[in-house]
Amino acid sequence: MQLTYGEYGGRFVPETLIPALDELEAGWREARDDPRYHEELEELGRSYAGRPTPLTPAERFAPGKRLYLKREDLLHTGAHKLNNALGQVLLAVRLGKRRIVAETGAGQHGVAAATVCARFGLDCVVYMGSEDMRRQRPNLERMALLGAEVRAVEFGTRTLKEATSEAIRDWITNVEDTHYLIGSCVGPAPYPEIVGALQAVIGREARAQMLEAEGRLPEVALACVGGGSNAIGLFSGFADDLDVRLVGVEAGGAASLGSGRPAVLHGSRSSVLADEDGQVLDAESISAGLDYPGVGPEHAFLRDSGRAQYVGTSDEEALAAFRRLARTEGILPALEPAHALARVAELDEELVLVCLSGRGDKDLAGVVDR
Amino acid sequence: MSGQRQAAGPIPSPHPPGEIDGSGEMRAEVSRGRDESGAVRPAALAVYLMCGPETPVLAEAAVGGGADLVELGFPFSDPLADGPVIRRAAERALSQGMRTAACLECLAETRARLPHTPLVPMTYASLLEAHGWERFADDAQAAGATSLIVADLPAGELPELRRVQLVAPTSTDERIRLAAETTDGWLYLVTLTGTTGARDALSPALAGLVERARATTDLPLYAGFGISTPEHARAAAALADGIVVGSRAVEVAEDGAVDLAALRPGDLVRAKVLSSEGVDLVAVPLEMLSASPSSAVTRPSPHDALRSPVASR
Repeated sequence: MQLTYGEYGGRFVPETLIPALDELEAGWREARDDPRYHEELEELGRSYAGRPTPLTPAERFAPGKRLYLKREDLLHTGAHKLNNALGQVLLAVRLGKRRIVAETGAGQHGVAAATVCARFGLDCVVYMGSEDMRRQRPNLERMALLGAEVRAVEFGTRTLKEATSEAIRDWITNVEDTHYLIGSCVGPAPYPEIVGALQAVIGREARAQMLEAEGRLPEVALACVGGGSNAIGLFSGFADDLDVRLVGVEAGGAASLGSGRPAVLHGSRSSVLADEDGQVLDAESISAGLDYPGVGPEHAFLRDSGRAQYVGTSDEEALAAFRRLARTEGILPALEPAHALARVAELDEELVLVCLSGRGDKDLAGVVDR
Repeated sequence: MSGQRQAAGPIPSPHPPGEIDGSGEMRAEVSRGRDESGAVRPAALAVYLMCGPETPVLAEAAVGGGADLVELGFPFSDPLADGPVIRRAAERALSQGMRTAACLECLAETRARLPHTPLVPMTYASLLEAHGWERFADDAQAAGATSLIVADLPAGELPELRRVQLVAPTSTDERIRLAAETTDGWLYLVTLTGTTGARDALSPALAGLVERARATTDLPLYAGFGISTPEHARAAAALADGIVVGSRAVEVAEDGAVDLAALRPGDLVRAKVLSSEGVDLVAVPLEMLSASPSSAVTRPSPHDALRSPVASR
């Protein structure tokens, strides 16, 4: 069980949660080693979620490159978030929890949580910042239709950071019957490991699909990084392929890895946008899913070790990539992976893999307005 | 049953015999334990105040009104253990520039006014991470801190950092033992599963937690979270050796310059618990503060100072 990543990770939470984290860790260990858990998850992936997702060549988007897109946007609910939500809900059922609490930024994780709760008959409460509710209205309506209760978070930044804090406070209060379905590879141990392991399916499939399509591995693999779960899932498929360069792309105004410092946020130590006193700063991004001042501890470790590099994309560059993918490939990406797409043209490498982590329907209003 | 229980570690016993403040007459009849000299001893009262420009004055008033220990909140931007009142107070304090250095100054000023009262900064790990864990502890001690509470640093993490450990109703017996073995003088009992802030009633979980903690340790047990009325205080004091009033104290302290001047800050802690045979409580309901005479505050009235421009927010 991986509780820390070098100097990052750990469990910085109030005492009330420690027994719940111990219980979760034990439950995860058991599930992880139980073939039936994996069979059930794979069957749900096939028959419910739409796995494996395709690998799509995108030659018109990037002339002169051989670009492949790992199409997590085609997964049920429209983003990679469902991989994690399905795995965690099976775990919650094993632990006897009847209530799920989750946070959401762009709404994709909230929709995934609401979806699996509907499928398994669990109560679902989703915390969402009021600013995000405004800019991701379609997902708000989807969550309501799926039977989840969406609670507006009306203080602080009114975005993902505050929604996460409120979800954790709810968990502290209702810990005995509630599972906290965290949406990214952040939070106290063992969450980063659980989420990373559940998203690893992205990298496993993509690696095999690249070998089938090209007979070789990509030279570089890119993914957007907010909390970093689609990136960690993609990267894990190539962790031992040292010739494959791994690049995470952050929003320029939310570059926790690019311009953060070690701090403690939401239960773990990582690279965080924080001031010199450890106070967490506000992130600023057009993309609600990347608008988060923290990042998963494993990314901080990968950055320090040099195994992965992290770069930034501005709002304008992401919007341009969004429009370009629509016009050249007939695919509307979410604004989050549009950040990764924006970096493709300038790469030295020719054979490129990008995780297209979600679809862009939720972002239409915001993009059309600009 | 608590006759032999003593505060260990560097924290002075909150009730040295004979040292009685302005509310001393109310303490005479008490309570839940007897000290070495056979004198009865009330449950101790800890009051939490968020660091701010007026906090040293408020802290002095709190002690004048009967507080035995003051917790000083060093605000953090993302306080997971806190409910709305303390969260808002933290936001306000941060907007007033109460960063670590200013909080340490606030602590030092409070210490200058209160040479004998245990003062315990309460904060979150991120501040220590940024300042340097050891350096934070050293600087806090140099500024007059008696100990330290880090709300998101559970027992077992960073054992070399001396601090008051917290236990909760969800804590296993094993964790209560670990917390008791490593805590600094007393054990902080979180009365409920939840965040700080007022509740309708005292958590029914406290009794069981006290019982389990008593089976493990002889250290003093202070109960906090959700204690916001004299009734809660009385009920908690019948079980624990001390109580912590946090959100309610912050709320009274923050009602603005006008309210602050109208009420007597010292009275905010008149919920001081004095239980006789574990049942009687002598306390002024917090709601009646502005109507109560100035019985508690005998030194130069702190609320005069609160009329100064500094306090006029």
